[in-house]
This record gives sequence, structure tokens and C-alpha cells, in this order.
Amino acid sequence: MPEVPLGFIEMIVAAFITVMILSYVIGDNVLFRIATYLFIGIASGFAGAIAWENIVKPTLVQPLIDGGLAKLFSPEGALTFLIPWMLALFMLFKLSPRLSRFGGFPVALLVGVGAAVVVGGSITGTLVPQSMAAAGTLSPAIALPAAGEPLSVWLEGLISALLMIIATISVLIYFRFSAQRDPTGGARRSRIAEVFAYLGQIFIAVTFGVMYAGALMATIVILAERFQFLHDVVTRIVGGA
Amino acid sequence: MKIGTYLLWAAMAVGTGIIVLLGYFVQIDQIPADSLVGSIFELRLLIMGWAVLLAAVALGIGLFNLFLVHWTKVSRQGPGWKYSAILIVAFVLTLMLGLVLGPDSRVVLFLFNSIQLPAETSLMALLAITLSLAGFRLVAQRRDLISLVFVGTALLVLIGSGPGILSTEGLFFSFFAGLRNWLVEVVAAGGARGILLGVALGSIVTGLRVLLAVDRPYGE
Repeated sequence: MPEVPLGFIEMIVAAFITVMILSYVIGDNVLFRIATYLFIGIASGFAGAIAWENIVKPTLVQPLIDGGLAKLFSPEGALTFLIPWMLALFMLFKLSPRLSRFGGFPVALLVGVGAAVVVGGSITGTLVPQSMAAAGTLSPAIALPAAGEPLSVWLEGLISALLMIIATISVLIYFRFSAQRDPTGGARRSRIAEVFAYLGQIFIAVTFGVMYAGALMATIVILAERFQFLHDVVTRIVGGA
Repeated sequence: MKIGTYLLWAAMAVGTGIIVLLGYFVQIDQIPADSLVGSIFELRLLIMGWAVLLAAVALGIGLFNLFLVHWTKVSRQGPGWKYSAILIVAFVLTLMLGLVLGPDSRVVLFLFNSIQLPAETSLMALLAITLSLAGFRLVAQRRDLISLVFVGTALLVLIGSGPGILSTEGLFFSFFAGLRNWLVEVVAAGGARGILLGVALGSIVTGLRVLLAVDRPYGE
């Protein structure tokens, strides 16, 4: 009996899974559910194995195997080994409803670090670069015509730059962070702010429209690739290649 | 006791948060010379390492909870218990194989390549259909200016992105291609910048509320 190559079996299973998932087009059905539950199970198991292999084992287990218990009593070992062990054990208290309040300690550390990463990342990764880019939109190089530049080209650039600035500011005004409340509980804003907020809504609609079209095109490409894959599998089986 | 514990947790969150935040903006070479940790930057890395470990442990707790929920469903034979049984078998099998043989082993990669990868890709492909349906439903059910701007922009971008709907040659296509470029590079870029700045400001405010212990999502 000829040996079936692993790649061929992999391809056949992948084709079945693809058909099972795409069967959702005709409505929620048994095949789709089996495929999704199978997918969640394998993805969860894979995530657990990756977390163990790359984080938990090198931090908590490998040092114990390499250095033994003596490592616990060194100052360096206390920081890199003993404290992580204690934090992980405290975290496991979250599994018990009776003891879960003791798990608040490592959760507090996680929340504190998470909040700091969010604040630091938002400032250095978004707020400063995007503000600088917005300010640079109306730099003298764009706002003033260059020597020999046709008036129409300069005007086009200037209008585009102004539109970008108006879009950014109006969207920010739409995201009102502070406003006085009126007796009905709604936000009270000036007439100009109301107009800019509505304009901001329109710019948000345009932005989401562009994002929607981009997502639609990308997913259509993926759908076509899936059909191409199924076509290749059928061709290979029929052709006996 | 309760107040003491709560203060300890708040101090933990604020202290570690400030050290990590300082690491973004301050680079001090040495704190005290006889310190175990040489600088705020190193201390920050150490705390970040603990946080990564805790995130992995939290993931483990989440996976255990997933297992328990489906195990209960199977043992009580509740609605859809057969699907839960499939999930448990797939989860335990993949986890055991991953722990024993390693996630890079041939068997685990077989499961990844033959089931997880095609399932993820096919779910993404399904989005093409669900996104189209959602677009049509939006037009049918909400006919206000904002919805029309949204759908109109999407159509213009789709037409201008060609090929497919229009031939890529001729004045008609070049007009739509130019309009698409202008929409993407000017109007949507400005709007996206506003959204990004708004999200960043919101994240900073939320993060600072946690760092100032105004919000305490780790419990009272």
C-alpha cells in the first residue's frame, strides 16, 4: 500500500474545514458549528502550549531545573524567580471563589502595568506623532507657494491641508470629553460646537466608509483565495497528482 | 484588614504603574549605587517581565475556566453538549501534544496548518459576505445623511479601486481613481487622525484614573 504524504492529508483536512466554515453562507448548520468548536478547542490548546513553552516554563520551571533550590536564596533569584513564583501562586487563588480576594494583589500589578503601558504608548505612539503630523500639515512649505509652483497646484495642496485640519478638529470636537449637562441630562454645547460636531460625524462616516471598503476588498481577496484553494484540491484529487 | 488589603493593592497598582510609566520618559543611569537594580529602566523591564508572566498565568486560568464551562455542559448534557465535547477533545489533545512535544512539533503544526489556519482564513473570507449584507441592510433600514455618506464613500472607493467594476483605462476610471485617492489621502486621513487622537486621549484619561487609584478594577 503506497504511503500517503502528510502534506496531502493536511490539504484534504484543510479543504474539509474550509467547506464546513463556508457552509455558513446557507445558514447556521451542524458542519459550521463542528468546525468552529474544533477551531476554538485547537486555538485554545495551542495558545496554552505557547504560553507555557515561551513564558511560564522559562520563568518558573527552567531556573529550578538549572540552578536548584539554592537559586531561591540569592538576591538575584528573589527578584527573577521567587517573586514571580509568589505572584503566580497568588494569581491562582482567583480560581477559588472563597480565596479569590487574595488574587487581587497580582491583578493590581497587572492592572498598574497595563495602565502605564496604555498611557505611555498612547502618548509616545499616538498623541505626539499624530499631533506633530497634524501641525506639520500646515507648515510654511505647504501654506506658502514655492518658487515657480503653479497657483492651481499650491491652492489644491492648501485646500487639502485645510480640509485635513478641519476633519481632525471636528472629529475631536465630536468626541466631546467635557460638556455641561442640560436639565434633560444631555450635553449642552454652543451652536458652533454643535455644527463642528455634526461635521465631525460626517468625516467619521467618510473614514469608516473608506475602512469598510478596504476591509471588504481584503476579505473578497481572501474568499477568492479560499475558492482557488478548493479548486486546486479538487484538481489534484481528480488529476491524481 | 479589608482597608489594609485594599490600600496594599492600590499601592501596588500605582507604584508599579508609575515605575513603568517613568521608564517611557526618564532614563536615569543609576539610582543608588548599591541597589540591586541599576536603573529605573531595568526595574521597569523586571516589572514588565512579571506582568507578562501574570498575563500568561491569567490566560491559563481563562483556559481552565473554558474547560470547566464546557465540561459542566457535557456532564449535564445541556443544549449543544456534543459541540462542547468536540471542543474539550480538541483542546485537551492540542494542549497535551503541545506540552509534551512542544508547540513547534510536527504533530502540533499539522493541527495548526490543517485546522486552525484554514478555519481562521475561511472565517475571514465569510466576512466578505457578512460585510456586504451589513452594507445592504444599512441602506435598507437607515436612510439618514450619515448612512448615505458612509455607503456612498464605500462605493466610490470600491469603484475607484478597480479593476473589476470599471475598465482601468479611460477618463471615467481615472476620475474615480483620483476621487478615491483624494478621499483616502485627505478626508479619511484627517478623520482617522481625529479618531486616533480621540482614542489616545480617552486611553490616557482612563489609564491615569487607574494610576491615580480613582478607578480600582482589581477589587475593593
